[in-house]
Order: sequence, then C-alpha cells, then structure tokens
Amino acid sequence: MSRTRINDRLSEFDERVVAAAEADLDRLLSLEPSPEFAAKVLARISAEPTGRGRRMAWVGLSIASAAALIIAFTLRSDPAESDRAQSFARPAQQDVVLSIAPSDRRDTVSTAITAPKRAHLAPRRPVRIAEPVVLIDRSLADAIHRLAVSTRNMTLDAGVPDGRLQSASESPTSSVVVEPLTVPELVLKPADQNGGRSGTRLVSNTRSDQ
Amino acid sequence: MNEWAGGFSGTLVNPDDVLEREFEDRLRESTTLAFRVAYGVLRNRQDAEDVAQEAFAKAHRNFTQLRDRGRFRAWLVRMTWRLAIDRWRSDRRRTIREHSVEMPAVATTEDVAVARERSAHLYRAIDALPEKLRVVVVLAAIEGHDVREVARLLDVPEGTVKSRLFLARKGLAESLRCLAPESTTD
Repeated sequence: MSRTRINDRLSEFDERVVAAAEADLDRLLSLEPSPEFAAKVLARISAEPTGRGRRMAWVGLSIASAAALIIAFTLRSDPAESDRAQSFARPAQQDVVLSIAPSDRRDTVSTAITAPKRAHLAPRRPVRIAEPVVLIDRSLADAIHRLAVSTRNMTLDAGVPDGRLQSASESPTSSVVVEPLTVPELVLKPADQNGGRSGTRLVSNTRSDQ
Repeated sequence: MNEWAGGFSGTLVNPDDVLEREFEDRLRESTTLAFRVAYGVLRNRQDAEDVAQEAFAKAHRNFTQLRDRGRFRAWLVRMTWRLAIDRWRSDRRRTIREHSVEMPAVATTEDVAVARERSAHLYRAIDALPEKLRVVVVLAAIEGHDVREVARLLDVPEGTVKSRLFLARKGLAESLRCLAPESTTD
C-alpha cells in the first residue's frame, strides 16, 4: 500500500478507525469483473456504427440538406416558374350572379355588367353585387314591359311570307293598348321674339299648327 | 498491374484499424479499473458492469477526440465515475434499495454478519461524504493509488487531493467512531 497518508490533527483513535475503514474498503473493492466482461464490451463496441459510417452518414445528410435548400431557393427565385405555379393553382372563376330584390323587381332595370378582361389576374375577393339603378322613366318601363309580354305571346308563323310575328292567341292586338301620345306645350316667351318690348305671347302648339 | 496493386495494398494501413487496435489495448488494461470505480459507487456487480460497459462505449465513440492518449485511464475513470453517480442517484430516487454487500474473503460464517454490518456502516459513511471527497476516498482505495496517481486521475493538483483526502478521513472517523469497540474508553 503506497498510499500517502495524511494524519494531521487526527487522534490516534480516529487514525485507527480510519485505517480499519480503509482496509475494509480496499478489501471490498478488490473485486474482478466477470471473465466475459471484456468480450461483452468489445461486442457492444463492434455493434455500434463505426466512425467512418457515422462520418458518411453525416456527409450524406449534409449533401441532402444542401440539395434541398438549393432546390427550394431556385423555385422561389424564378418568377416565371412561380407565375406558372400560381396560374396552375388558380381556382375556377365564379359566375357573377345578378339578382334583384323582390320588392324592386318591377321598378328596376338591371344593367349589363361585363366582367373585366383581366379579372382572373386579380386576387380573389368576395363579389359584391351592386344595387340595380333605374335609368328610364316608369311609364316608359311599363311600356317596354307590355311590349315584352306581347312579344312573348307571338309565334313565328311559317305560313306568313314576310315572317311577321303573329299572336299565339289569334288576337294580335288584344294585349297591346295604344295610348295617346301627350306632348307638353311649348311656351315661347316674348323676349325671345321681339326683344321683350311687346307683351304678346306666342303660343305654339303642335296640334294647332297642324 | 494487379500484382503491383495487390502488393501495394498489403502495405497500406487503414487509420481506423490502427485506432481500433489502440483502443482495444487500452480497454484490456483498464477494464478492472473502470469496473472497480463503478462498483465503489454502486456496490452491485451487475450494475457496475453495465456502467463500465457504457463508459467504454462512450470512450470508444469519443476516442478520436482524446489528444493525449496517455491520459486515457484518467479520462475513463472520470467518465465512469460520472455515469456511476448518475445511475446511483437515479436508483436512489427510484427506490431506497438495500445493497447486498459482497464479502469476497470471509473466513467463517460467524464473521459474515459482523463483516456485513461493518461494510454497511462504512458505505453509509462514504455515501454521506460530499462527492469531491468521496471520489478521492474510493480512488485511493482502488489498486492502492497514492496522492499523485489520484491527482492524475482527477486532473487536479496534488495539494488539492491531500486536503480532500484529509477532510474525507476526518469525516469517516466522525461517522465510524461510534462503531469502534474502543469508543467507550475515549
């Protein structure tokens, strides 16, 4: 036992106690591993991947990562490719449905709405249907409505040589009501005729002229 | 051409093979040391072999990173100690188990009970020491390492080992004093 012993400030009794403990510890730790221990260790080491295999695995992983990064960067940086990919991914164009509120159906006329030519390039956004705008007078609208109704009841008779429309109900004028045309009077002021000096009023009426 | 290549390849030495052979040499001369270090902490043969095996596997994985191959034993001892302490702590956390103390050389069966009792007290006293003092006591008890060898294994100055060894012996004396037969006389 070549161990260096330090016995500063330890009493003789403590020294004996510690010496006995160290002797016990020497004896307890003087065990040998099992005979197959070294073989087990070697088997475990050989079962693990070798250093070259680990290095090759790391190299392969690095190359694969670099290739994936390069491909991703190339796809991101090519604008034509990205446009093509975007056009392939564009969903089908939705039809614009124009509807009229039931309460306003008789009083309104829908306007023709044409879709913009490059609407497919615009980003998708919810379509907002505008309210139809009344562009003509109500009486005129009623007249158009009646004309449309009468036209719907007309059928094209093959026997008529000039191809004129004939009513399906055999009474061509039954649904058409002719209304007198009322034209408001035109009032000419005196100042327009003779400089406003005379107080005579010239009243012009189309019917009286006729 | 083939003959020339065959003769030339016979002279080539694979560096990995050289490394493997060197590690196997180190392993053969250090198996007992690693096992005893682990046993000094765990006091169970199977656990000690498992931990020593794990330490060797870890050393094999990192053997290329060891620049000074002459310090392999110290490197292995520190690795084994750390792994054994981790295993000991996890076992102690899981369950407080009774260690079956092996008695390698007991003359008679009458002495077995007394020897077991003394060993159990000794291990309890060692376990109660701080870890830095504990490793010094265990390493000094293994293979009769002196202060210089313990300092080399732990990679600390000799003076540090001396002071730690003194504190450890003092702590052991305080713990084991009551068990000594002459305790009533003092």
